[in-house]
Amino acid sequence: MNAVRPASIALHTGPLIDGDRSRLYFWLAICVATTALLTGASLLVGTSSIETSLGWLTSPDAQSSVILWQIRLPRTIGAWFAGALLGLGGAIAQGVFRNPLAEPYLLGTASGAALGVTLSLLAADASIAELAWAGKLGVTGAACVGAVAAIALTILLSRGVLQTANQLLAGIVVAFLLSAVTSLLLLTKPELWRAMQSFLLGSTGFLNWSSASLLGIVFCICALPAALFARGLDALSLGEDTAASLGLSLPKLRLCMLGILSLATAAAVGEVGVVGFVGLVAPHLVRESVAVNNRQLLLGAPLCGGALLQAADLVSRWVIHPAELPVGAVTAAVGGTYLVVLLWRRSRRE
Amino acid sequence: MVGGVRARGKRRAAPWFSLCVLVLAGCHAGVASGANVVRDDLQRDIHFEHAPQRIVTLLPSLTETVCALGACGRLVATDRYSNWPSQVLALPKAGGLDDAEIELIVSLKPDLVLLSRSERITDRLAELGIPSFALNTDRFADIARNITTVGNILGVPERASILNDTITDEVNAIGAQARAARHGAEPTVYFEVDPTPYAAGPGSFIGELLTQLGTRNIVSADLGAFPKLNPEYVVRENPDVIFIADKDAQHLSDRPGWADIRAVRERRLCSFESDVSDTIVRPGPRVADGMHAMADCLRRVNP
Amino acid sequence: MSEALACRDLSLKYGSRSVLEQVSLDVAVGAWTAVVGPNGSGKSTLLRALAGLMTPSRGTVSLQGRPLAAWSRRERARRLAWLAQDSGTTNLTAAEVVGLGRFAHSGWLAANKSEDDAAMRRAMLATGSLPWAGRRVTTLSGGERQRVLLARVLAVEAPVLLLDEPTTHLDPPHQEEIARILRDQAHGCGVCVVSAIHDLSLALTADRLIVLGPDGVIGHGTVREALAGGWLSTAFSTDIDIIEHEGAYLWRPALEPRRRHHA
Repeated sequence: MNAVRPASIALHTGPLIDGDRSRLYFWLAICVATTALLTGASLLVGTSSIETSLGWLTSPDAQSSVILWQIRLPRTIGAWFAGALLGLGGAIAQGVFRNPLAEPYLLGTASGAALGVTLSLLAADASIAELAWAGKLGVTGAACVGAVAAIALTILLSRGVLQTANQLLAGIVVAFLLSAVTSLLLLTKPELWRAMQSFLLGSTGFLNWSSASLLGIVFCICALPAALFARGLDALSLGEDTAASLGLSLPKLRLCMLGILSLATAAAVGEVGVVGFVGLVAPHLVRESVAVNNRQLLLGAPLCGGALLQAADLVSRWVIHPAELPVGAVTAAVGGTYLVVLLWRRSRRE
Repeated sequence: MVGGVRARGKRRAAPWFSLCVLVLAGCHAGVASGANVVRDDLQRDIHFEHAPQRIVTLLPSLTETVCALGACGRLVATDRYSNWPSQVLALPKAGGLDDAEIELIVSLKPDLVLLSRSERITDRLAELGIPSFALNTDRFADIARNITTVGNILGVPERASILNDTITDEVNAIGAQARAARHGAEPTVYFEVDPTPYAAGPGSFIGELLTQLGTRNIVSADLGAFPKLNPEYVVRENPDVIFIADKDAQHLSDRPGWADIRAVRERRLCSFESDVSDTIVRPGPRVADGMHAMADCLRRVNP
Repeated sequence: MSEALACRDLSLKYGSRSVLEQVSLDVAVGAWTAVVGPNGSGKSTLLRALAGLMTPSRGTVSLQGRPLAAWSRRERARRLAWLAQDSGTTNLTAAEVVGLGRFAHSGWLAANKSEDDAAMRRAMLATGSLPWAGRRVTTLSGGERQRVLLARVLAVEAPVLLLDEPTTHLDPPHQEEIARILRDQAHGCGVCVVSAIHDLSLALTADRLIVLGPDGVIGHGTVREALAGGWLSTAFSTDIDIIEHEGAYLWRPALEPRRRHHA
């Protein structure tokens, strides 16, 4: 049965035939170009008119240099990395749970981060000794810790990484539970509601070079192993039994992927608050434009997510300047609209 | 929080009833607590047969107003945030600004509940037959207006008038002093209400006080009372003085670009203890104290 | 050489419900064994247990003489290939799907490119799925997709193939092709092929049968032995009429009312 290898038949063992490959490259080029464009635009948009900003670029003074290079540039770069982390998280969540509605906050991360922030604000406000650790971590650190703790709690509650359905259920339970605790805590100090609201709506306002670097480092730490283990998600898409029969350790794969997901989401939430829809929409956008396997998705979704959040940041700064919209409200508006369009196109296709 | 309760339209007692009351009031000329019809800020005409003796206040500024008019003894309960004067701390607490405890209020059998216009329980109280009176307390002008109205209701209009005069005199004096004391141009100020950042614009109560003190707010009036700013704006405007909560004051130089702001560089920051900041955020009879604290700080950091 | 696949005293349970008790089998090498039986008799369960996808409540399964648990995950995956009944929904191209069959050999990084290519080529040639290597499986018809999935299984080049209902939902020509490929694998490549098959006539084209009934394994042997022992009738609790025609065994559905067999 070992057939003689016919030299005349060329087997396309590469992941794509040429048509698809060129579409992917084209799409990647668009993403990169959009990012460059948005970065440039971010330098020009803010509390000054575009002409003024252009003037600053040509003849800078001390204050305008600060505004351009210490405020606007790190803000847009930080927004890109945060969006990329969310896009990566969304792609991983959709792959691990094999559900196109999955998104990075699925396992209670948003509620956990909110609780962390609440504890940190309470610590700063009321000088409670037990909460001193939260105060020391600052809002960012506390949000990160809260997010990771929520995922850990979810995994614990669902008794390990064996059953996907259990994890989703546990995630919902954990989200509700932590939200309730957060609300109860805020009852003791309602003045903190406004701060919590701004966290829940997301904000890119104070991203500086150190936040942007942190986000960039976390992105590199997350993106590489994700790309490496993407093939496991491909196997998983054939079915759990099939994946197991191929020699894949499902618990290990899930644990690893969820670990990357929690790190990525925690870092993003810590720095920019709870920004919704980016993690959900970015993988969808990639899949709708180019058909991809998981490795390509795990590379394309971050590129898309980064550009999305950059664009949202730009819009939030520009629409009512010098005041600012919460960036989460912009992503919700844009993301929600995109999903409506998607559903409409799908129903039309059928 | 705006507009929790829509104005239900005017509530009138049957016209003949008011007429009777007026006739009776005329017959009993000279009695201090005559019948009264006063319109509240929900456009309801509230009828008072006699000056209320058991009062529940659900807003700290209204508590302070009642006490400043010497009627503290008539209070039977306040909201949980009322903390001045110290004697109100012993009173039962009937909930917060959004979650008033109806049962407690009803059990105390008050003959008047003073609350803010956006309080949600107004209708419920009316159903239960408890008289309530809604007052707007957002702006500087509301202070005098409310003192007059409450004084009218409580049957102490003269005391209200005296109080108003006192406050006006004090406020004017502080304002004049502040304006006279500064050298050169108006200092530019940024008042941070929240580290998001939310600022107090000239249209807010705080903004009005700042204007009276002869400062210029970096936020313009068209941005609204409490706009959420792009932090870059504060850097560009480079205010001379920043009013900010103490816990946030320490981290200002961590914000990108803020270390170069004049107020941050030269530590021209004003923070207040919570009891002092109460007088700044509550449009009430202690407004002069609040202004005094702000003027003091301005003088200190902006000589 | 020790038996490629065997089980001893295997007991399988779903929760507290017992599916199979005390099953001992030796599955023959170089032959195609079909597992038949009524619905709910445990065909899929038995196959999954043999594949190591399900832990038995009692007993052992051994692969090439060693218990399944003694093999490392990767080693086992190289020696035992599984085709699930449900193919899942996947966005991959046919070539990528078949490439996943090489996962056990070349791991995450797809290290042995040329070896993998060769194996994939062989598998796709054997199943005739080479022409649509670059197409997404979602764009293929049912028969084409099943052949790609089978190619994925063949690409593993494992000595043991376990297939759960590989011909369901396929029309007759495609069923024929699958059966032909399975037979070629067994006879031509010396692979041990076990498949659960619903269709009796198709199952009877196999070399050996494992017949499951409501109370467990009825018999295990060649097709001739099965027919001689009336295992099918016992399994289905009714007369199953098998006729021989030109060397093939065919099931003749009897539509006249019959007396029911009681075992």
